[in-house]
Amino acid sequence: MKFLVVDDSQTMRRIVNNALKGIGYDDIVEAEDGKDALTKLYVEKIDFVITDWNMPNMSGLEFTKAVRADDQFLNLPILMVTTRGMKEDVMEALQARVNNYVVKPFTPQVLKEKIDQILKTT
Amino acid sequence: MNTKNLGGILDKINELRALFIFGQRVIPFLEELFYFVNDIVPVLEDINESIYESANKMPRASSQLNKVTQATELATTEILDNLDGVLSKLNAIGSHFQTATNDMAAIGSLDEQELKMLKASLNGSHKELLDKLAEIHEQKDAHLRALKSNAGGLQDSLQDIRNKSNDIMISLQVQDITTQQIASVNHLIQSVQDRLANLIDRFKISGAELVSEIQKVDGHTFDPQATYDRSGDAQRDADKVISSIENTTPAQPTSGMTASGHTSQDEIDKLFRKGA
Repeated sequence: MKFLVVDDSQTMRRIVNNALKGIGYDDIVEAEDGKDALTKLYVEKIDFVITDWNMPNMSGLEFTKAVRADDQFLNLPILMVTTRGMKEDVMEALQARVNNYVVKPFTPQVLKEKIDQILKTT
Repeated sequence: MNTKNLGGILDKINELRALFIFGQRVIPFLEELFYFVNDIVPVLEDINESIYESANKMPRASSQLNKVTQATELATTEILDNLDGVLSKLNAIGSHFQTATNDMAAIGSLDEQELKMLKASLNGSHKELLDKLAEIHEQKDAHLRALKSNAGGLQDSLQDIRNKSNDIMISLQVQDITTQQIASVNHLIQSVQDRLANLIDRFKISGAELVSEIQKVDGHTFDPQATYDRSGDAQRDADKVISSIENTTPAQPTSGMTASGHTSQDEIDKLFRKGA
């Protein structure tokens, strides 16, 4: 299973990568923002997206909307991992059709739990 | 000149007198006002200069904040590199210990076989020697058991160090959260500088113009509410939110939210379960 990890923070990409490797997912592609992620999505065969919200050029929310606008990615699992924890933010992400939502700081256990939940339902 | 005309002149004289009296009273006040304006002009000029200076210092403050973000990112990367190194070494040590434990078990088993073979070949003779060998074997076995036990303890310690290293990695997420907060402060500085620039423009401070402007990052969103909280309070709040969300619409504020107005992970899960 190939993961696309989208975050402008190099630290966060490393942390998500380490967490994914710790739970047995080694095939990981990285992107620095929504624009970069969108490009990689069309080049690589991505099975699962983990995206931050607050990023330059194209935010995670805009990226999610752009992905969902393309029919071929309607069922692509998208997990939003962000510092934004307000109820309105969660609702907005839901409306953009993310599959699940994790608030930073998170533990690898929470990440695994969410990935498992998404994979069970998609 | 009749009496009526004379009365009119007297009235005018009285009016003039009143005017002079008013003038006498007002002149000291006007003098004070004059001195006040005289004093306040340099103060206003000072204020204008301060506004100008402050506005020009803001890009530097903003740039320094950006440097803080870059420095913490660099330092965090170095910590992550070191942690990766530590974890890799821990895994190697763990693997060596496992091999050593297996080797110890094999040695114990070989010793036992050796003793059995010796007993069989001596067929009851050399009892004293065999008893001595059995005693030595028992002592060796006790040492092996102690080594195994220590190895087990060491494996536990290694696992503990691994867990703590992973914990440090989780804590390093604070870097991303502080970046959001710094971006928020930078945005605030930028807004203040814009306002000051407007003021400078409106009052045309002695040909002053802003020397530099804060470098803006196009389209960068940030979370001004970003907080780092691993206290466990979120979980306690979450239980309250979960029970209250069932009775409220999602858009309404909930009594069980955290002080920062954040939604807990459990509440988020609840929303997703509802949507499913």
